[in-house]
Formats: sequence, structure tokens, C-alpha cells
Amino acid sequence: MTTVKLESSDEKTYEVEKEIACMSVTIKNMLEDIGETDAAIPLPNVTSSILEKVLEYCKHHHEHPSPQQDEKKDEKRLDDIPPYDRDFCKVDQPTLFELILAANYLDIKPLLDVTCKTVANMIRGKTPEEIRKIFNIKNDFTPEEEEQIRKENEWCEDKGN
Amino acid sequence: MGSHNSKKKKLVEINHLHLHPIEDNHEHQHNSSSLNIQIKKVSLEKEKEWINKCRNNLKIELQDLDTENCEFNTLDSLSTLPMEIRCKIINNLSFMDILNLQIVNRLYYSTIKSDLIWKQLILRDIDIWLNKDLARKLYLKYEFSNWIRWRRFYFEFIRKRVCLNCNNVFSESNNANKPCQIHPQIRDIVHDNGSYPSGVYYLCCMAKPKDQIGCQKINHLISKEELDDDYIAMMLFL
Repeated sequence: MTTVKLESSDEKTYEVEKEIACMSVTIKNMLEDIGETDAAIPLPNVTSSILEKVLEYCKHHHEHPSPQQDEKKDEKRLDDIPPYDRDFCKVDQPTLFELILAANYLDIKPLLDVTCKTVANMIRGKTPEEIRKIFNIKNDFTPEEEEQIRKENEWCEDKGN
Repeated sequence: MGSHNSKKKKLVEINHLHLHPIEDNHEHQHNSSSLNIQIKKVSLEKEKEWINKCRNNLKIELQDLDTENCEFNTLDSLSTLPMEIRCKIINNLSFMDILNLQIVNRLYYSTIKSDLIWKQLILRDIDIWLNKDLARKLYLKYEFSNWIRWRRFYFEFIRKRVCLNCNNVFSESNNANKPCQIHPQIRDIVHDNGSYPSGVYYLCCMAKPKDQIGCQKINHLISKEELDDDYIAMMLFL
């Protein structure tokens, strides 16, 4: 079984199976470009703690491939996340956002999907004030502007019923 | 000893005037290399001082920006994500959640105003709309045109209904003027009774053609399913 070496931004090297590393499209493309090599692949945008998490995710999904059937059914439920992934995403906010960025950079679509869904779940069913509080977002509307947008929205909601 | 003193004196002079080595004389020629180094050190000190001064100036500017609530300093982690990821997150939200997110902040307001997001959402939701055939037809027709307002498109279609009587698609805001025309009674065989020859007529208005426009105007009828709260919730919250 061939392995590849990955080097995080803080210069820690990890040796992983090629198949697991290739769940990242970015790494897969790199390996195709450079061919067989013993040198570690540098990942300057990913810290070791995040890379460890990402590899943990890839390993689990490599060992337990998710069933591909009834994909359509899955798509219908927006908040549906498999149990392992849900536990995996139970991390603090900075880590979650770093995971999103790492998944985006490494191009691991399932991980990106699941992390984005987790953030969406944090927004779901909340009032604007609650959303601001959760993510520490600053409100830069004047009260008049906010009122106007609320009115616009009311109009949409009424007609929707 | 004497030469050393005068060299020192000269250095002080140079230091004072911030000048480069001046006219030649005995001592200078003698110790030219060491003097050069000294002078370089002096000018280096000057440079350092100047850089520090600049740095301090810069620091003050940054603080000024900070007190004016510079946007870049107050960005939270969700807002610093790249635009495409924010779109991806929004794409996982229901219609109502998106409306709520819009009120949070100017950044989200402008993000959600973008038609590209609504184009994605139309593709996502088109299958649960009642009049999906029309929606899909229109979508395909305008898919590549860049003037269509997808946001408007979505808002129009999410509240369109199908009439049970005439199968026409309508929006509820236009349902006040009894736009649906129907025959309240069925078509049946009427035997020759003097005024009409035998044949099949609408019993209400005795109109013969099958496709005769309805004689009575009523409001469009919505199916019970559509009036169901759960159904509406599904439409809005997905």
C-alpha cells in the first residue's frame, strides 16, 4: 500500500495512505502532477491540528463508505447529517470555520458539505438577533433600515401563505 | 593621544551636522576605514530613528481607524469566509431562514440580494413547487440570459397556486375578482323538450360546446392539501 507524506503549515509531517489522501482533490491533482515522490507535500494553508481532524474524517469515510443510494431523499432534507459527521462537527466555532476553509482548500466535497450544513443548522429557525449573537456579527443597519427590510420580508411571508 | 582626541572631535562634528565625510586631512587619511564604519553606524542610527518615528506614526493611524469602527477590525469569522462558501451555507437554508439572515447585517443583505443565490435556490426548490412545469419551462428559457431577476422569479413562484377547477396557475393576490370561470352543473343528455333539440348540454346554462367558457365567475379554488398548515410550512421551511 503506497503512502504519501503531508506537511502542515507548522511543519509537522503525516504519513497517510494514498487513497485516503486522494479524497482531497487538491492533493490528488498534485500527486498526478508530480508523480511518484518521497518528499512531503506542503499544505501551507492547513495547521497540524486541523489537518489531523481532516485526516480523521477521511480515514473514517474511507473505512465506512457512505451508501450512495437514495441520494435524492437525502437532498430533500436540508438539515440531515449522518451521525458520525454530526459528532465530528461538534467543535468550537473557530475550529469549524477552519475546517470549512481547509475542506475548501483541499477540495474535499463531502467535508465541505457537512461543515456548511452544520453552520446552516446553527442559523436555522433563529431570529436575526439570535444569529448576530451566535456568530458575534455586528448590526450595521440603522433602526429605520432594519424596519424597512422587515416590512419587505413580511410582504413575502404573507403572500407565501 | 592627540590624534585620537581630534578624531573624536571630528566625529562629534559629523554627528552634529549629519554629513558624510568631508575634506581630506591627515588624520582622516590615516583612519579612513574605521571612520567610515563609524559614520555608517551613525547614519544607520539615524535611519533606525526615522523608521521608528514612521512606525509610531503608523501606529497612531491604525488606532484612529480603530476608534472609527473600521469594518475590517470588527469582522467575525462567519463574515470572513469567502463569498462562495457563504453562498453554499445559504444554499442549505430554508426560505424563511434566508429572509431572517437578510436582516442581520449589510453584508448578508447584499449577499442575499444577489440573483445568483436565488438562481441556485430555484434549482434546489423547483421540484416542490406546484407549478413546477411552468417554472422549469421559464427557467430553461432564461437560464443563460443575464437580465433575468432570479430573486423576483423565486418570490413569484413560491406563492403561485394551481386552481382545482380550471387548472390554471394563479397568485393569491389576484384572486379577489373571481377570475375563475366554471359551469356549476354537469354536462348531461337533455331530451327534446321543444326549446332545445336532444343533445348533451351544460345543465346550468344549456351551452352545447364542451369547451364553452364557464357561465359563473368564482374565485380560484385551492386544494385542501395546499391549505394545510403542514403543507405551507413545507413550502416555506422545506
